[in-house]
Amino acid sequence: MNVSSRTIILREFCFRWVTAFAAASIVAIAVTMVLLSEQVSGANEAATRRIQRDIGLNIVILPPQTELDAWWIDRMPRGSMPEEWIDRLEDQDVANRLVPMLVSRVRIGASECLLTGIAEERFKRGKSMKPVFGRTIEDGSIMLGATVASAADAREGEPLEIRGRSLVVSRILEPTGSEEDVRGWVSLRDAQAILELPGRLNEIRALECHCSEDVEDPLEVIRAQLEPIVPGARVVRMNALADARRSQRMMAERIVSGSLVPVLVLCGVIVGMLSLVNVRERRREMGVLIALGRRRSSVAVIVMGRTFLIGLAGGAGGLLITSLAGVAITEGIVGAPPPAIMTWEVMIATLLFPPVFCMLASFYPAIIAAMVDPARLMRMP
Amino acid sequence: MTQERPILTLENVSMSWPRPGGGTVEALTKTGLEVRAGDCCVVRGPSGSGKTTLLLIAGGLLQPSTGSRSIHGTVGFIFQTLELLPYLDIRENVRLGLPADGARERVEELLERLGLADRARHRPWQLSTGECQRVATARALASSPGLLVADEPTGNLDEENARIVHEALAHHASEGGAVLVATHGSVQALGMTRSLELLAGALTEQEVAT
Repeated sequence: MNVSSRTIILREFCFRWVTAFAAASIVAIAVTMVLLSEQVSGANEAATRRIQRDIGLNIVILPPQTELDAWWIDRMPRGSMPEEWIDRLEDQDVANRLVPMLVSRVRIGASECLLTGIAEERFKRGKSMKPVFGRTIEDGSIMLGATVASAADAREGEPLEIRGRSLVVSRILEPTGSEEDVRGWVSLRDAQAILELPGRLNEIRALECHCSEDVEDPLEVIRAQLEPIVPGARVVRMNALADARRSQRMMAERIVSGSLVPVLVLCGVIVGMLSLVNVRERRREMGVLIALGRRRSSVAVIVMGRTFLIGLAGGAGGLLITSLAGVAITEGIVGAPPPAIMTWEVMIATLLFPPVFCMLASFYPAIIAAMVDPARLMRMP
Repeated sequence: MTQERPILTLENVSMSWPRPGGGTVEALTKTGLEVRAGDCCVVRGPSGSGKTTLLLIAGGLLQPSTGSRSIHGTVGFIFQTLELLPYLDIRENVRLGLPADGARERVEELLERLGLADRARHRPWQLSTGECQRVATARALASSPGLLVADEPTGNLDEENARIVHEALAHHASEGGAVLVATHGSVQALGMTRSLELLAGALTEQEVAT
C-alpha cells in the first residue's frame, strides 16, 4: 500500500512547521479581525443605539387641529386627540417606542411653566424593551425643572399649587440649558385633571425604527403607515435628528465592513504567496511523486491539503484568540461589552470557512505543482 | 538475453533542444534500441553526449522530437540526486514507490535485501549518502517495474554500497525486469550484460567482455 496523500500532508506540515505556523498565524489574525469586527460592530451598534436614544425621540404625532407652521414657531400643540390612540399605535411598523403626553403652558406663581403630563412608555406590539423615555410620575406629585423651580421658589417635599390643585414637589432637576428647565412633569392623569381634558392627549412622541432609514423619503412612509391608524393626525419628523442617526449608523457599518475586505484580500494574497513559496521549495519533491506514478491531481491535492490544514489551524487560532481576548479588546475599542456572537453556527463557520478560503488562495500554486515536469529533475542535479 | 517481447523499444528517436541565441542542439539522432527482460544495459558516454536525454525518453518522462517509444510494463527511476522526502521515514520513502494496491511485504523484502531493515524508522538526513542511495534504489524497485532507469546510481558510493546497489539491480534483471543505467563506471564492475556507447547523439552497442 502506497503512502497516502493525508500522511504526506500531515508529515510535511509538521516538518516545515515554521512556515506553516507563519501562514496559520496570518489566517488566525484575519479570523480574529473578522470575529472582532462582528463583536465591535454589535457593541458599536448597541452603544450607538443608546447614544441616539438619549438624543431623544424624533417623531412627534400631533392632534389634527394643529397647524404645523404654528407648531414650528412655538412647539405647542393645538387641540387634542383621544388617549386610546396610543393603544392603536401599537399596531404600526415605523416606530418602536411611543410616549403619550399632554402639554400646556400654565402659570405657577409669577412664572410660566410647561406643564407636561406623561404616562409610561409604550412599545410596538410584540416588542419587549426596557422603558427609557417615559417618566413614571406618581399622581399628586410634580417634578420641576431648575428654572421654574427657582422662579416659583419651590422646594422638594413641599406642596405647590397649580390652577387650584395642590401637588407635592417630588424632585427638582439639575439645570440642563434646555426647555427641560421650564417643564413641570406630572402624571398624565393629573395633567388631564388640571387642564380639564380627561381621556385626551395632545402629543405623542415616538422613536423611529430603522425600517424607514433606507428609503428616500422616510416621512412619507411614516405618514402613510400612521394615517389609517390615527386619521388626520399631524406627523412631524425631526429630520436633523433622524438623519444624524442614519448617517452615524451607516458610517459605523461602512467602516467595519469596508475594513474587512482589504483584510481578507491581504490574507488570501499572503496565504497564496506562502503556498507558492512552499511549492517552489518542493518542486523536485512534486516531480518525484509524479515520476513515481502519483497522479498530478493528487499532487495538487497535497498542496491544497496543506493550506486546508493551515486554514483549519488559523480558524481555530482565531476562535481561541477571540474567545479569550475578544471581550477585553472590544471593550477597549468601543467602551461597551460586545454581544454574544459565539454561537455554534459561528464556531462551525469559523472552522469551515478559513480552510476553504485558504484552499482557494492556494489554487494557483496547486496548479503550478501539478504541472511540474519530472524530466527536469534528472536534467538539473 | 531472452527472446521475449521487448520491454522497451525505441525506433528512430531524435531529440533536439533549442540553442540559446538560435539554432538547435541535436541530443539524439535517429536512435534505435530494444531492451528485453533480463537485460542489464549500461549507457556510457562523455558529459553532454545525451545519456540523460536517452534515459528520460526511455522512462517516458520526455517526448522525443521524432521517432517512437513503446514500453511493456511500468518504469522505475533512480534519480541522480536521489530526491528522498525528508519528512517521511525510510520505510515510507520506499513505500512511495509502491502502486496503490502494492503489498507491504515487498517493502520489507527490499529493506532487508538492501541492508536497510534496521534503518527503517530513520529519516533520510540521519543516513549516509550510500544508505540514501540504497533507499532510492529500493523505492525504484518497490513497484517491480518492467524497466528500471538509473542515472549514475553509484557515482558517489564507496565499494560496499556500490556492490549492494549493483546486486539489487542484477537481482531485478534476474527476476524478469530490465535495467538501463547511465554511468561512467566499468561495465564489468557493474555486472552489466549490454554496453551502449553514446557519442554525439548516436548510440552504438559494444560487445561486453566476459
